[in-house]
Amino acid sequence: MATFIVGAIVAVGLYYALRHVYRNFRMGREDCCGGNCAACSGHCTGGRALPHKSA
Amino acid sequence: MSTLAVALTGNPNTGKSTIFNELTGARQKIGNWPGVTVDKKVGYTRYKDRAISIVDLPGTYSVNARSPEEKIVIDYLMNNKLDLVMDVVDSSNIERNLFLTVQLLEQGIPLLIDLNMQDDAARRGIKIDTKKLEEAIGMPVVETVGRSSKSTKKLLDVFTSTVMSKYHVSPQVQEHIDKVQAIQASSRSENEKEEAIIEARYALIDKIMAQAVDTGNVGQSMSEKIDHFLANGVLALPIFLLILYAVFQITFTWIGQPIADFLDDAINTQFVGFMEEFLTDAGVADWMVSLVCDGIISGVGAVLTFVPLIFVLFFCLSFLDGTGYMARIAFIMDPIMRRCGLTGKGVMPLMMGFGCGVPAIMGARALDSEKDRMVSILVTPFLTCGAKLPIMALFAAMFFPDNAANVVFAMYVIGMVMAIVVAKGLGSTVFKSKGSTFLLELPPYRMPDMKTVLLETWDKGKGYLIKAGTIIFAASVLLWVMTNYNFSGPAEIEDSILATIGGWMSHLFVFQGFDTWEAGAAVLSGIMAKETVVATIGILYGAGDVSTEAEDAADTASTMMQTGMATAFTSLSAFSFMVFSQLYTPCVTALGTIKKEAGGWKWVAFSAFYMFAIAWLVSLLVYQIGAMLGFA
Repeated sequence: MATFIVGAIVAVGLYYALRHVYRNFRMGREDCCGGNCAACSGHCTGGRALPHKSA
Repeated sequence: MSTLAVALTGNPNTGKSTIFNELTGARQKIGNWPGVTVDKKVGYTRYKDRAISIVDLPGTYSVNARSPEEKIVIDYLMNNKLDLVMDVVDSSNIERNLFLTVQLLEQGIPLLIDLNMQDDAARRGIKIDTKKLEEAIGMPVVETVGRSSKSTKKLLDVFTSTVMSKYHVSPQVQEHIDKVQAIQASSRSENEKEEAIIEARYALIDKIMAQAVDTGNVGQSMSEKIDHFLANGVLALPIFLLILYAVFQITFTWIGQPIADFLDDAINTQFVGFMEEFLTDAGVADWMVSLVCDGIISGVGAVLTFVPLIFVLFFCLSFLDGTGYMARIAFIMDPIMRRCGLTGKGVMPLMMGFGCGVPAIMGARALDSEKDRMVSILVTPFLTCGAKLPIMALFAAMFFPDNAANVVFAMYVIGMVMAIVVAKGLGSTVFKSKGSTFLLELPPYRMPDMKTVLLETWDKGKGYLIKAGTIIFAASVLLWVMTNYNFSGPAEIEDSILATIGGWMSHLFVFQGFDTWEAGAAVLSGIMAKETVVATIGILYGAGDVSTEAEDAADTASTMMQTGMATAFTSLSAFSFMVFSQLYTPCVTALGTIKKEAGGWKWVAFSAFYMFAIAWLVSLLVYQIGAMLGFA
């Protein structure tokens, strides 16, 4: 019985873990950058040419 | 009452995101790199029974719709019904900031002008007469100090009390707008029109400056004085390396490692022991106890142990980012990057690669030329992302206990050098094109806002906690099955599925000194996610050696893991393994991002194979040359 309970807990944990991994894969998300790549969209680097002042 | 719709716009690095966070409590990446905000960020708050929605628009220098950021801003402002558009202006850099203000006024967008960073301006000796500025432009002006919550909260008062329809641009601004329209309607060439319009804008800005801003006492700013020391041609690079070295000492010697050691003891000794005893006493079958303790807790625990290191490292990097020093690194590295055919701007996505390769690869979008973009995408995975950090930390602590920080630092340097060398190679072969120019705004040095630093540290670091509970958890279960079973049923670890696959892989590493099936299996699992290398090692070297005696199981697990590894690796083969892990094929998620960003499977295949080949070659050289020199 104890084995069954622990197994069930592991199985549920595994289900949610795999679901999370699958959803990340589907949505192109990566946990390492704060769980939401849309937060930066990879555009965190925007050094742009400034408009030049005419002489 | 309807929701008050407010949009925040302005140049990059004017403190919009800080104001947005103060007003809405929303979390958002805030940094000193220009262009830190790209997506539209919406936050909500209530003030005096009025619901307020606030949109934080990307920072832009102009709204010519030439870049994605500029397009987002102008599209949003032109196509949405907004009650109020607040133009956040860096008071210490008001002349340049007014360029965007003037452009927005030309588009007929009424603005609430927020003179932010008043403290910086005052320190620089810039005096702005708010009343005169209001008269010169014809729009309401408010003053704030972005990091003062009291100062920003008063904005809510302004939002709810300001009626923009009461305001009209001043006669001189109207005259300018008429002039711009006349230029646009003229028969000049597009280039001539653009030049004439820019000239007209600066003429208006000069007038406004003369009317409302006193820069008579402006001397050399503190940032300029600091830059004479930190960003000059001679000292800049040594200081940069020194700062980087200090970060590693803080992470791996002074603060991070002691916490990691404590956690290691708590998880791998205390908790494993407790769980094993508890489950055995509860009558759980031995195989299930093994799955939970040797599989899940060993695997997840191996990764969790390194979380303190990751948090400390990210804290240091976020702190440096907050000071404004990170932007200087682009300038410091520009001469080196130019030798590789890139610009200093390319350093920024690469720096992000120290956190995670995925946003770093995506960050290459901001680079100007296709060549810079592709080269950056393909070399970024060489850098030591946070997921590789546990591998480096584990091996360094075990095989180089007296020089752990130095060895990890060396891995970072190897990653950077390899990225630069390969960038040079790709730039002069696969992606030949002309160099590009490099213009970047240097933000002033500031004392970082600790709230922002801590939030950013948490946002970056929490990913590892999530990973430990998800992909590492799943991988640990899978690895446990693969180490305890073969295709005929339960098996000893040496006859397991993982031993078979790892055995095949190990043939590849005969000349690198780590041709064990455990190392082969760890390398293979690292392609799924780099953290699983440590989880795999944790399981493989812990599982077979754990005592079945509950009272000493935990101590044995921890000790035997080290003993098992110690016999499998020498210092030299461990170093060779670290070099290989540093440089080989990126994880699946990074490969997926490369496909998306580089535009095709061929680049995925290219990345996977050329990085594996380089890692294989470099680790071979390290081992063979090290052996020739007599290193054990």
